[in-house]
Amino acid sequence: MFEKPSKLNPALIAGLAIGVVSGLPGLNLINCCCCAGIILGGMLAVHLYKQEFTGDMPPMESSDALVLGIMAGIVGAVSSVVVGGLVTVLFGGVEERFIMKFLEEFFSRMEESGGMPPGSVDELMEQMERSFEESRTFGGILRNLFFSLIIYPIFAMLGGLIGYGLLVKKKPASPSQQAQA
Amino acid sequence: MIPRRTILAVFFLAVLFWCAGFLLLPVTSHIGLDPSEGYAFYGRVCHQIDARSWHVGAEPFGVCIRCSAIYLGALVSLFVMLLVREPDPRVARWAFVVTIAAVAVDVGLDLLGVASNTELSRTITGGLAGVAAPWFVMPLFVDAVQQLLRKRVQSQQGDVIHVRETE
Repeated sequence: MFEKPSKLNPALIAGLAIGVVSGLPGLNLINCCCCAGIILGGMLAVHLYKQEFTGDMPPMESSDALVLGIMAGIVGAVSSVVVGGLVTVLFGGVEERFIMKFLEEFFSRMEESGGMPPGSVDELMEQMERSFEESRTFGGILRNLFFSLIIYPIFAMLGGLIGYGLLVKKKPASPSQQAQA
Repeated sequence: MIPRRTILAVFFLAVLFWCAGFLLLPVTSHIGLDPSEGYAFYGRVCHQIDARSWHVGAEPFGVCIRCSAIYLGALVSLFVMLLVREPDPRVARWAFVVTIAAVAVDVGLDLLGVASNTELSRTITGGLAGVAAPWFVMPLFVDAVQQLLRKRVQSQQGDVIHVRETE
């Protein structure tokens, strides 16, 4: 019987996906919903890892999903800071103004339709501006990385376990595997 | 092997710590602490819109109503899980999927402008999702931790046997 496939590639790909989703302004709003982007990244890692299994390998276990999620979360934390930094360096104020304008229009429409209470758009835009300003300083980047390295692995691990529970069919262990255990 | 209940208890304490963090943020300024770092930390996982948050006095919790309901629901479930046996995994799975779908519908209808969600709808959908999630995720987590510990013990035993053989 062969060994299980390496976790590195799925963790790297899913981690980079987390980094892109979390690092791009506007797209990173998905994480405002209980880190949905990071949880989905953990699920993606499990999905990619599952594809690498062949019939003659031992079945995927929940511990694989847990480790994969943590790995993807760590990669995601670092890559989100890198992607965010690159976006700022490459596009600077142009990208910031574009995102702010887009979000202002979007949230204003929600406010008009009653989806958001009056005045909350201004408050949200202030928060966005503050976060843009903070993300440009070295201290802001370090703080960002520190917070991300705590939060991302936890939520990606949960995503990995959710992905395992939803996507992976549990096969009963073969007699040889039971003997190994 | 570490018993299921011990792993659950550790996770419960971690979630309790997490919840205490966002619940106590509004009162930190009253005891002379600066809550801005705490708000920045929880701001990584929540939009923190003031009008969509519960308050203590004039200060909001660290996360919005829906997130608060999810985390507090999960905390309650984790406590109950310490006392009772796990239900059928298929029931837990379906409960998780249905409650997450309810959250998605509540958010989606609001984003599309079809129907605005309310404080009550956010509390109920978030709370139900929070209550359902641990029953689905925690058995997998407990299983995963036990597998990792078992593998570690096996590899240590393997090392000891290897050293004895070489001696």
